[in-house]
Amino acid sequence: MSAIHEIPDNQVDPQDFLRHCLTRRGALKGAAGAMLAAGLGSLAACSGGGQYSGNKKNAGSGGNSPAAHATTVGKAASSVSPTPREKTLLVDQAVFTVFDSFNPLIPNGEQYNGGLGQVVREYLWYFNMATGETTPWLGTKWEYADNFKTFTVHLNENAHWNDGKPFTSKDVVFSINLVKGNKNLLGGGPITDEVKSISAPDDHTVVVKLNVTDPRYHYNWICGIVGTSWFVLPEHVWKGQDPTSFKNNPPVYTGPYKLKETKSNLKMFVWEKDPNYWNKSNLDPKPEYVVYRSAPTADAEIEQFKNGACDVTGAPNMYSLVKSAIDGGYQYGTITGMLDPCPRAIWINCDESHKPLNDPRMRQAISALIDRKKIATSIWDPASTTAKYPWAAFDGNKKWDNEQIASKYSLSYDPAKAKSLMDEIGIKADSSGKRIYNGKQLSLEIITSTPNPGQEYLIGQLLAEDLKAVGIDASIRTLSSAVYNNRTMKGDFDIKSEWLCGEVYDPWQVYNEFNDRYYVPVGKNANVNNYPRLRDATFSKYMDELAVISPTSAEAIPIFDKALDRYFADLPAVTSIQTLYTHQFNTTFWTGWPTDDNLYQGPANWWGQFMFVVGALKPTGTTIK
Amino acid sequence: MVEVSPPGPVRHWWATHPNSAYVIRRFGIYVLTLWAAITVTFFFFRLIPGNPIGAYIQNLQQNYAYNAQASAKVVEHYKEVFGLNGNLLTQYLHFMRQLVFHLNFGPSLISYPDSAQSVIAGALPWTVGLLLLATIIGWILGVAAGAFVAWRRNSPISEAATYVAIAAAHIPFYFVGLLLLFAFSFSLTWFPSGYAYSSDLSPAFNLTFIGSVVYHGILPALSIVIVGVFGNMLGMRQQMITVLGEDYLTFARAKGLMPWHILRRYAVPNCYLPQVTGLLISFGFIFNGNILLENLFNYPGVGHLLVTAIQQLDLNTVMGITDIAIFVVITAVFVIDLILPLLDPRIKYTR
Repeated sequence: MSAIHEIPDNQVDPQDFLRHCLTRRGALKGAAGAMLAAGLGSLAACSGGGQYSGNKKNAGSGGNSPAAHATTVGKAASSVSPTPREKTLLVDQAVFTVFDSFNPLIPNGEQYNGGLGQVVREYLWYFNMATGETTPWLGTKWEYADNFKTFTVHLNENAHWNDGKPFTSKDVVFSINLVKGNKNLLGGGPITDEVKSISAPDDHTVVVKLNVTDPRYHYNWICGIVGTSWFVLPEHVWKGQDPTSFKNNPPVYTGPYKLKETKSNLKMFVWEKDPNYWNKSNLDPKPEYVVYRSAPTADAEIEQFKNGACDVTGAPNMYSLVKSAIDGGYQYGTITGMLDPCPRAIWINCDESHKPLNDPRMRQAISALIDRKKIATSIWDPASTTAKYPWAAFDGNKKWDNEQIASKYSLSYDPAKAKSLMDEIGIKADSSGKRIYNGKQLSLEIITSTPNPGQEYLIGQLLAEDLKAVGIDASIRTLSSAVYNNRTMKGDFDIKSEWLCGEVYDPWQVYNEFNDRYYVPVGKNANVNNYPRLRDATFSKYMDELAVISPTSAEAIPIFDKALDRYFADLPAVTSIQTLYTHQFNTTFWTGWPTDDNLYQGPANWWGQFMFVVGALKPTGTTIK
Repeated sequence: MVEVSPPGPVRHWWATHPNSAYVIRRFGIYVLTLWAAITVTFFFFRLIPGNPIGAYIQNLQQNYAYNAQASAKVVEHYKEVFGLNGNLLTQYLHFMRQLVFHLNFGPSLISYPDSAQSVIAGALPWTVGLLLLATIIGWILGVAAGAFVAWRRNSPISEAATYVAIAAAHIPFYFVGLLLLFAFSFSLTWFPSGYAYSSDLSPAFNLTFIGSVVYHGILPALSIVIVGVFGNMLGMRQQMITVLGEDYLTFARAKGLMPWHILRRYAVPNCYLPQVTGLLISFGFIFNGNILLENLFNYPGVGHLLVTAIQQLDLNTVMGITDIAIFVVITAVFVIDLILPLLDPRIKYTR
């Protein structure tokens, strides 16, 4: 069996992609201008926080229209920028700690979210979660042959590194062999483990012989969430270096920006446009400089945001502050919502050692006690929607939904059903209403790494209250991240309140996390999968069948349905709500941000796809007094 | 009659050189305290459950970079690199060997492969520069003001100043910083809202850069100085008031000495010993940085670094910062014990 993808179904030509974005944006600009003229303004749209729900982006855009732009602003707008403010895109991010090293192969060897992974390093393909499209970039096409045991990649012949040297298949081969040959380096996993041999028959073709059948091997080559697990490194820079200590400074990659300087005392990275960028015809960003800095405290950041000193916020909880500023009359803020790929979820320990949670009916009972609507509307801010399936409600994921199967299970709030399920198991209420199991009141602990009043904590707290209401002694506890992770890996928990990540391209990715093959007894570390210790041979059989067939093939569909049915019957992780996150942008100096009405690209500033957002920005012409 | 044997040469020397004996004994206690404090701190931090490397990998995954793959072998390798392999005793011996023989805290997880001491060394000058200067200024002004308000304790100005000081000395640095930030940075825009120097400059030894550092340091320093002045003022005032009724001051006045002279030469010298002790001990705490203040002003000091290191369970950097603070506090106390007799002849080395 072989499969050839010239331009796979969901891929687009880069030029078409950008043209599409610009056309839609242009139309929206006009529409927004008209709205302003009609007196509606853009602020009302922002005040709702916005919500993305598939193609119907049902909240208005923010103040992202030309009419909303100032012509001059005060000097405070340039108080943070190390480069001319009008030419600089200033992005706030998390606390940076690494400034002199750009090595992705060692722990904290680089600051991937400081612009490096966004505007300097490029990927072979980019997946746009908002639209479901895949854009070829450094790669042009991939092919499978030999029953998914041979994988061929064709590279873009125009690509070159920012030091002028050509980007070739030899770099790809070198990068994979580097990690494959040194087990102490990060960036391994399927990309190297499955490689039997790798070769470069010519400068722009890579042939990978796999030691297993893997129709999903190409997932490793696409920037899906944030980036990929490995990176193509320039052989001429890395060859002969010790990869466990090499700093790769200045970083040599292929992106539209290169390093100007780092300012460790200011926790800043200053990137400048590469005049020799290889793909200018498709992506020619307008900002001369992109500055990533560690966000100050929220109190300071909101004041700087209102002064126009930063373009993208980074501190936690900025949504409410920016929203409040906009509600108070600030004109140059816009808020864009986008679903996180990870719905919030309640994880339940399925191991024999955690009776009665090992009984699927008990997990169904817990699911029936999750008040999804209340969580979506009262706990989550901004309000979101309920979740049923173990993936985010992106348009591209709709094909995996199956309402007929979902309707068979307790996926909505129904305490009466929960009680009846517990009665069925034998966890009956005594005269005082306490649910008795093995002669004593059933007691369950919910753990989370989110401190009170964080949202995952509040979700757990609400579940604990509902468990108490049916007679279970339930409590919620926040643990430090390290302790939480430790207990997770050891399977030392009853219930966890967190999220369910994994599905990016097809449900097998998330289902396979619960495959029997990853089971280890409670007390031993489960390395990356099956933390709830689910053991279901039938479910795992479906996973193994799906593992060797193309997820888009006709034969895969019925197996996916059976797997979904089985997943809902097992419920090792019960999703509660779709996770809506917001991104706050300032339109004083730059316009063209993704908005709720024109979500042309995922707006997260720490994802690789942010490069396309930078590429779509236009200067407003605002100057400083 | 029992014949008493003469003391040995060591005991003889010990008895005939009381000052040197005191210094040696005190030094022994100093070394012992230092070792005990570092040991307790080591075990305290190592008892935090969880494996920092595993947590780091999991954090990568949970922060949505969950494509990051790490085999158990990678985790084991870096546990070895960071001195986290083996039981607690093995880890302790490894740590102490590195520290004592190589003055090395091990690599920093937050900035691997740099060493923890080099990461701390990058942040230390900022903290020391800001906090040391602010603490000294706050101390000098506070002690002078305290002496003055005690000397003129019945004047309305002194009374008012005392009431203000009682309230102001208990306001946290952070809150004062926040007020200053809103007033002088966001509202009046006289001062920058953060950082150690202007973002368009690079560190250099020239007037422009030094001026920028001073300009950026004014608000955070002022937060410390304001609270420090009032705190020291109250302490000095309290000391002075107990001294003011002493006979030797009455005698000095009877001799016809000028009040200023009496204050300066007779009253103050008898009050400032506790203040000097407090000042020297507070120097030790400088090395922990002022966590909240540095975070508020985005100041690149040790406090900021400590928070980041704790968040990422970078045990080597946390131990480095803590041990430096321990070393400075214990050394400061040791030095105080040695120099107090120089400041006050009433204090003797001998028991």
